[in-house]
Amino acid sequence: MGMTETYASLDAAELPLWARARKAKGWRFVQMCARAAGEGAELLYTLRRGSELEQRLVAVPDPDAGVPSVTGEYLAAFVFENEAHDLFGVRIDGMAIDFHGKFYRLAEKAPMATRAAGGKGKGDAR
Amino acid sequence: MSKRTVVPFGPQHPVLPEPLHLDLVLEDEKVVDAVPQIGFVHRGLEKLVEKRDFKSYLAIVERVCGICSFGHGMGYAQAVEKAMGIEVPPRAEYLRVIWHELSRVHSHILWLGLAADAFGFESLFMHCWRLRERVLDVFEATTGGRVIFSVVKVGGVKRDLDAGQLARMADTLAGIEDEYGQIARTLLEDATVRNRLAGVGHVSREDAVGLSMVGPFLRASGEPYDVRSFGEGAYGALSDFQPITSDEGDCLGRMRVRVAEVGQSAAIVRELAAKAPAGEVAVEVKGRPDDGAQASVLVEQPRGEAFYYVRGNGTKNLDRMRVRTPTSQNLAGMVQALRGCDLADVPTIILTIDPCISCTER
Amino acid sequence: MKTFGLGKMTLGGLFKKPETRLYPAVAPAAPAGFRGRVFIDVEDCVFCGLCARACPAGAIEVDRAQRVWAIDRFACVQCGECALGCPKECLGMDGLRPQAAAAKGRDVARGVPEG
Repeated sequence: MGMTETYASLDAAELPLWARARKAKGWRFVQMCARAAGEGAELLYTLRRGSELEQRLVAVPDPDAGVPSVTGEYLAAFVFENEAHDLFGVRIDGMAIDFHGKFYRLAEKAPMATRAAGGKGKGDAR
Repeated sequence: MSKRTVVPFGPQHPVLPEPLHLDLVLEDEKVVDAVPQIGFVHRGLEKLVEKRDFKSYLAIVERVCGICSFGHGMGYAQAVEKAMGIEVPPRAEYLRVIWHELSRVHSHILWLGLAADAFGFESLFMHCWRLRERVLDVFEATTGGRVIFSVVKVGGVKRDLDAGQLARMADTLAGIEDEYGQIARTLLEDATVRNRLAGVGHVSREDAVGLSMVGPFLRASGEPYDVRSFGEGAYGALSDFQPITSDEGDCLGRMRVRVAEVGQSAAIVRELAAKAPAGEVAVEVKGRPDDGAQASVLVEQPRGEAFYYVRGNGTKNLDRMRVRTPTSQNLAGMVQALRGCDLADVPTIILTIDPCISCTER
Repeated sequence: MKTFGLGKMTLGGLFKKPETRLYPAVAPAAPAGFRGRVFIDVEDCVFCGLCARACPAGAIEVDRAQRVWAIDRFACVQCGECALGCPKECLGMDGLRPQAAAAKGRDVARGVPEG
């Protein structure tokens, strides 16, 4: 396969420095997403250089604790950081473009922060 | 000091294919800043992994968007296959790429029509969509559906294509190319079109890279990044693949890139149809993704690089499925392109980034 | 610079057959393999319920005891998973496109009583 990816953990506090270092070396921003994990969330940051993907998992055990934004280096991340806040309730500090929770108009707060129990639902495939 | 006014644009607007809201900050007629707002078609599709098992979920991923439908199905299937260590037969890889490139052809022809309509060239819009119908007929004959193909599954594809179908596909493409060439030449060389598009919405190469733009939007600013050059899947079998770029960086450049990509995709389809190996088109998938098994895949959708990430948790429901679509990445670049343009050019610029808001919001 | 570059195509359009059809009066022929409508050969059905489990939209209901197979046509997304997974191969898809209706309901097929 042409592309390679590596996963590793990263501390939330190190995010801005890591983003700056990577950007200086030519790594480009791919995406950021959140995942409900335990009581809090886990954020996945993806950077790409050439055909290499670098994945960094940032544990956020307390969503209100605040995670520093990477929009200082990668402005395009504002979309994903606002989304992580609106859908998962993760507080991100210092977003360059901050919608203060109004990016997605939702009926309930942080709908993806909790998983529905089970998963029986329809469509249990053969 | 001129007065600044804020004009709301969208979500209902005749020129927009999908709902997007922009607060345009104007000084006289010039746009000084734009604040985007999305979320009007948020369906919460990523949360549905909790309700559908990972094989049935493909039907949902396909329906994230109607234009990029095949790419989403393919990207999701590839990510699950990577997470579970499943190897797809080579013929299935070829068929997937053939269908995906045809998807790109239909998407770019569709886009050309919409872009022309945005600055008033309605008859060209009709011609483009008329041509696109022929591609949709090919989809109907080969996959059973015009828009949602339902032909990808985890482990391969559901249908095979025989030599006759592949030949008819090549014939249809050849038949379109002549008329499409006429239309494209009319657009790119016409003086009125040039007045509307040249120099409008310029984004420099440094800005494009710095704002993490992707797809033809990025390539039109001179940066040759295309996921297909990494040679994943059947793309590795191509004899030569060069991303198409333009150094103009404005709306005309973006149009040029997408027009050229149609020809490139048609050539890819022909090449792969000739080279496709015989064999099975799917492997049986047993078991479930392991707890903690995660994988991500990049796919070059018609609109740019799309990122798919899946993570299993040992059950038949995935823990997390993430689609990061090209338009959500391009929003920052779109805001940059809008700065300094005239109010009348706003629809044109928005359309030249090829927005797919239903993809962005899932 | 060309003006009227599309003139030939446009004028030709006046004399050629129109690209559009007067649907529904003139319906397009469905190609082979078209995913139109799910039909069942209920004599062969054993009411195992695999189709109902495979359906991502939950459109199919199977009652084994009553030997009833029902589909909600409006919930069906024409994906073809039911037909693919049927062990008795009694499900298929024909070329009939989804029809408009005044009310939603289910199409019910009853099996032959056993014995």
